[in-house]
Amino acid sequence: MNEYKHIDINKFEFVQMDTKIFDKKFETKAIGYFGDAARRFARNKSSVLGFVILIIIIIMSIIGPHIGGRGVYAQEKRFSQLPAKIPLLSKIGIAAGTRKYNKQSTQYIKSISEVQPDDPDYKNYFFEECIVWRSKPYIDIQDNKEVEVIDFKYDEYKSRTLPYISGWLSRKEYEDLLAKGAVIGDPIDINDETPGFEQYKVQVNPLKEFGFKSDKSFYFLFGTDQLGRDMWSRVWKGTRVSLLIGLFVAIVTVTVGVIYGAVSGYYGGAIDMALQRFSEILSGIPWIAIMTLVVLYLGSTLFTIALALVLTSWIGTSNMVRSQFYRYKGREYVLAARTLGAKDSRLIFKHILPNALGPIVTSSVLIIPSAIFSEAMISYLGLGISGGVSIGKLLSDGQAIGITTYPYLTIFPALIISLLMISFNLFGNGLRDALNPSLRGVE
Amino acid sequence: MVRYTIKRLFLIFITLFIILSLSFFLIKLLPDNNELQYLMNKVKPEDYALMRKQWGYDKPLFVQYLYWLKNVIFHWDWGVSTHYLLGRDTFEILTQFLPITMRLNLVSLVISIPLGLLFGIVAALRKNKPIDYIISVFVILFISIPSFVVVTMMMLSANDLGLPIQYRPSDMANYKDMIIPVLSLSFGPIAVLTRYTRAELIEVLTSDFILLARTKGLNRFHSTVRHGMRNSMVPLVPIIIGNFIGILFGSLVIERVYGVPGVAGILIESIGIQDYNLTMTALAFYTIISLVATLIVDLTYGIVDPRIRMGSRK
Repeated sequence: MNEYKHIDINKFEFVQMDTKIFDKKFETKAIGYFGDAARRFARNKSSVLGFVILIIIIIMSIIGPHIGGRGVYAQEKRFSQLPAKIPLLSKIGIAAGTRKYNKQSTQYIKSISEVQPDDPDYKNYFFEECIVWRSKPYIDIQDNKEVEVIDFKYDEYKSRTLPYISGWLSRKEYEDLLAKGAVIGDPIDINDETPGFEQYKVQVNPLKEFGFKSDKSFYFLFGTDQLGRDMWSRVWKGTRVSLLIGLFVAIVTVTVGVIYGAVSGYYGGAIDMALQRFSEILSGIPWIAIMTLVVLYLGSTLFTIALALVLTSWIGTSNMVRSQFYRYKGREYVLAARTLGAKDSRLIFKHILPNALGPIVTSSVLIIPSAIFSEAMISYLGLGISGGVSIGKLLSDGQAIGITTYPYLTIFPALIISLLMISFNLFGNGLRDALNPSLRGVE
Repeated sequence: MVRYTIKRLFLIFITLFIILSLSFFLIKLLPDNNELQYLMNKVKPEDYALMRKQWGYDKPLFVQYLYWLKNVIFHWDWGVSTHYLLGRDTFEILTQFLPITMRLNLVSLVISIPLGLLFGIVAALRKNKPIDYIISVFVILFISIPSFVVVTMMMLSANDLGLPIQYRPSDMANYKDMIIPVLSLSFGPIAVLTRYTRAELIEVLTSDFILLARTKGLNRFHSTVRHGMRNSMVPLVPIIIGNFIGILFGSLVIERVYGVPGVAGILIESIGIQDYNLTMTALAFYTIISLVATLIVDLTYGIVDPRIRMGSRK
């Protein structure tokens, strides 16, 4: 090399600087790896369907609680355990807002059309918890008849002497109640303790209080739970929380799993043996033990549940990456790169890991539904998040209350989690086929 | 192969030892460990002191651990229950609940293997025909829908099907109580097995030796069953064993939801009532089973494809 250095640089000239190039320029754009994958993915109809359902669920989990719902945490005892009513479906008998009543039912049932202030019977059923059903005038309830219920209970304020001079109501509160259409009952003498003092009952029709224009507009799409919370809002909020758990688990799992698997698979030998024994011990611990210990030690918050899920799920990813490394590290091109002096890190990340890109992307997508599934399982076992809402929590709550009595509390979360699983699986399968390099260009 | 197996067996014992020791300390060192609270309320103070001494709770935790280890290894004595059935041997309690769990798991395994294979073969032979599409739809549905959703839906319609809505107490329970949990446990494994059988068989059916079998005069049935199935069966073995682990852990939730008095109930309940010896025993059961199953899966991989040598150098 050195002996040519003395040659004057001007003596060199370009061989083909002025010659004409006969090659045509490519007029089509080159399709990259991901462009090609997207193209092939779009051809797979079922995967696209899964993708669309997934997107709809994700969008609904973000905006769902704010449309059509009535607040996630707003408890309203007076609206407790209302059956679901979905306007269009109710015409064909699904989610019609009905519940079975029989003659033995102790609750007092009255048609809404009769609930008028000038009704002579008015205070009789205001003074006790009563169930109001809408539509037809009062009919004798047959055994096990399905009755469409509104099922609200009236508030009752007690007050002495005058409704507002009391420990229960200030004057302003009293006037507010009057403005909402409250009705004051007749004074009741309470003789037993303090003679001469009277008690009034002030009843407020919650429909008016909550701004429902008519009883027709009063319904909950997915019903309400035993505390009177709107299930529609809770289901979507729970979906959001479950998806976030899944996303977090997927990101952490892939990061840890890829690094661990790459090191283990690339270096092999003693390092592999040691790392594999460690992950084997960890994977040998049944997940139920890991969950229990994590929850017992760190409490059952969103973060700890996600942490417990990561502890068990990264091993799968690392095994997958490891086996990819075993497959590719002996290939000739890797040997060639090593002979040319490539460092280990370059061999790992530049030459071998891209081979595993497809499986990594696919598995990271499929970790999300499995994390959601596991979270639901933990909730069923009574270890789920406390003080929050997730799909699993809703399911286990509905289960605890009794699925035959209040099926809608379980059915809607069950429907959402099933849809999520199906669409994630369809999407993941399509992704796997689209990202598989061996299928590239084969149609 | 033999050397590898022996090595793995040895490692399983080490793994088991580490897991159990770790669990022992983690569980016993829990911040609010009141293992003997129930005993204290139950018996007279002088008896309590005596029993505490007899069960070794007066010693430091590490000494307790050594005693526990010695008893397990040499006497197969897993310690006494401190709450659930006070004073009873925990292994005895476990074996009481084991049959019902194992029956549930084995019956659903026995149902799911032939059905999975059958649907897989049908789908593979009728590839891209309507029946294949129908099977594919069901496969995607049952792989996706969680077993606890299936069991819930079945419980909702239990009355119409004439089945008990919950597992009845053991003196009333009969085969009818098994139908719902077994079915809901089987759908998933059937779907998984169908999918893999179909994929394996389609690959095998396009290979040259099947063509050879056909050209030498074997009919479709014989070429599929004698030559095709035999070759695609081998990769399916690990999947079937994997299914077994899946069913076992899936039955944790199913037992819980349907109220089946099995091992799952013991595990969860013992944690709640702080009967930690029982928790340890139930955990050991699940650990041993999953370790052994993993070993079998790895060994069958080695048999299937001799090119795969786990643990080879770079």
